Amino acid sequence: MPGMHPFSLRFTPTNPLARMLPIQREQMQVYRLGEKNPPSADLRDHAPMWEVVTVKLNARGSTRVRVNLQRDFTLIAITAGASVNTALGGFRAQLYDMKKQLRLADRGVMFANLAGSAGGAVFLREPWPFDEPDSQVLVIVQNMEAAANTIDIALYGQVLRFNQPAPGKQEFPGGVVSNLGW
Amino acid sequence: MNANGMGVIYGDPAQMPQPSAQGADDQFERQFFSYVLDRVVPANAVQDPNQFQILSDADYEWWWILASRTSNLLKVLMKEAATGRDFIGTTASAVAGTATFNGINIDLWAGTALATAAFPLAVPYILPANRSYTLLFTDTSGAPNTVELVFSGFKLWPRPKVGS
Repeated sequence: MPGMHPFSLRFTPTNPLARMLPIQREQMQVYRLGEKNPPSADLRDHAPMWEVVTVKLNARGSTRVRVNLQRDFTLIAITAGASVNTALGGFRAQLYDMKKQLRLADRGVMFANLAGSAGGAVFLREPWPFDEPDSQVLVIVQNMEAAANTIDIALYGQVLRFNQPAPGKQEFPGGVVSNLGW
Repeated sequence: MNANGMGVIYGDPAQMPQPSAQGADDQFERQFFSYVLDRVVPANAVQDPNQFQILSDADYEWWWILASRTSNLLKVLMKEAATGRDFIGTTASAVAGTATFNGINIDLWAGTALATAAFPLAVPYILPANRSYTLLFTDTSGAPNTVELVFSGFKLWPRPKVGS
């Protein structure tokens, strides 16, 4: 089949799902921001930010946590952890964009599907911007375990620097970012 | 579309997304470089402060976080001295049972590092020359916790302008 493999691999069977990504530079294709070098896209002049939600829940308990987001927070990846994580699944969590009144999942997502496991992270193929003024994210967490559970959910994203008047502008109250003259 | 109607022709560089004109060349030479922070965090320390400073010779483009630790019962906060910026924060409205916010669990911050890779910043961040950063560790393991954090990225050397 023309175009399926480079010539050196044309008789090598491959998983059809592998064709979802180009065979070259596939690591750069994992999330859209990786297209540029540096891969800043519209997030130039933003800073990395981890918004952390830590809850201690009783057995089967649930809670809702509302987080005020800094300006122009753009969600890029989710990581999570739980002190108790058995075959019951640890916990479920669901995210809402409060300002846009959108839910980011149909229902609560199991820990392993929300953020991988063993300290993994799930990167969004397309970052989600909380770009409305005074945006909030609502996190609803339910402990699936029959024991008390400490649950950490970290939302990794980019925010506009708080001392930056607008993208492309210098840091307030002025002066270049460093003293090296660029 | 290729002859099979299956989208791009794989392996053909001409079909790959190309860097934008803006991103193709920003006039910097990049030198791979890592800033390393080693610390034995005392048992049950709360926000144990540790500083590192970017060298004065070049700004630094931060791309990856790598970490090793004795126990995962360790939280970390990161602050930028010149601006007071917190990289790790919470404004959670209701956080049951946690009186003080001591940061992110180190396995979540550099989690993939502990799975033999590096946590990639999707957008690299410039740490300006001479600027200091503070890492605050909180241990709940009850024993000394040997930590190494590695900030991996590139020194940015401005390329001399042609004709200047």
